[in-house]
Amino acid sequence: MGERSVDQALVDRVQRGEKPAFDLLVRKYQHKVAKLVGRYVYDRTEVEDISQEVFIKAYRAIAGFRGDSAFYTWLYRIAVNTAKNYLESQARRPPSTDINMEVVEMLEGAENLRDMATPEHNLLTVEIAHTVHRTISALPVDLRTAITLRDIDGLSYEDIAQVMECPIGTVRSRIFRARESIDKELKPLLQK
Amino acid sequence: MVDAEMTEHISALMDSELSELERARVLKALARDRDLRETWERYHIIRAALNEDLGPVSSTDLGARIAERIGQFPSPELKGGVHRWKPAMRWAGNLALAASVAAVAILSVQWFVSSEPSWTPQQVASARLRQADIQRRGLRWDTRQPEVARQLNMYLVEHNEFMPTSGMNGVMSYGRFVSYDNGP
Repeated sequence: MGERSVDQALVDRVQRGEKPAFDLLVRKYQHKVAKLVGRYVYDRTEVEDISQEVFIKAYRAIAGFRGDSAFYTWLYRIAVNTAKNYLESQARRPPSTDINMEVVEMLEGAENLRDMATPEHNLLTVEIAHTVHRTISALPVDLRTAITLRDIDGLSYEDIAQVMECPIGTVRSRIFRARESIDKELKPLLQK
Repeated sequence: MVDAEMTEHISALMDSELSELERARVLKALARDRDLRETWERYHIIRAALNEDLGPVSSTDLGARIAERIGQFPSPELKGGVHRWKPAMRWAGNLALAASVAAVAILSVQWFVSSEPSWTPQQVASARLRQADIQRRGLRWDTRQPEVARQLNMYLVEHNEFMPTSGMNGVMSYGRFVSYDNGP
């Protein structure tokens, strides 16, 4: 059961009228969408506005999403087009280097797009990144290994269990405890 | 207050490591509880930060603003009222459709070839002799010959259900077989 199936389960629920399921998709992808939009637009307010527009468009079109591509590939297409349209409406030229959607599809598992431009991150983003890395470094080695194998290397629980020579249940517990520790440091930064 | 057991399930959900039953239960809980949804979001922020894939993080709740706006729209309906088939089911559906078309084609040809319900054995034999004659002399029947004209007329009568005006569309075009003129 891959990540694509989780997204598809959420899309199915949205298509059945469960709006909270769309909220989960928003919360999952809003930062990636913002990063993508940030390659076209550097003003933080504009990035937020365009990102919001991307998700509104996605919601309005989601009834027609048939699962032929991964959800986030479909979402990324909307994001690219929305950002370009915004620039054109502002009579600004979009960047000459475009995002190759075939590459996006190919790098699906890696969850990491190559930067073609470096937008200026806001202070909160920098602080979040710093907190995450600092907390991970201070974790017990078992927890640190488990979460990096999962979140960076993309291994399944079963594979991690083989690598770490422990039961799958232990892997699940270690990853959760690592996330819980980082979340405890992160939560105050994101209190809304 | 967030339930620790549920947050562990959320952690497993984002790794796609839940059974379908567990997944349904957790998604239901997430739909009801905003705190749980924010936990889900933070776990994804952690993953994005680890992968240096974190975009500008909004200090305001973008998710809440979007939820408020989509609340104004009606719920999406599947386009055309057609249920979206899972890829495996779509493939099976296409295969079934292709098999049905092939079966109809085969049965129609078989029926067409074998159906001479009102021809007597003598008539069939006569038609076959005539066919051999045609093959010997060419592909067209010479309707100036009375016997040929009579056979062709019988043919027309026997297969008039394939006429376009009958409302039945056969696999073989009626006109292709019976619309001979008198020839050169």
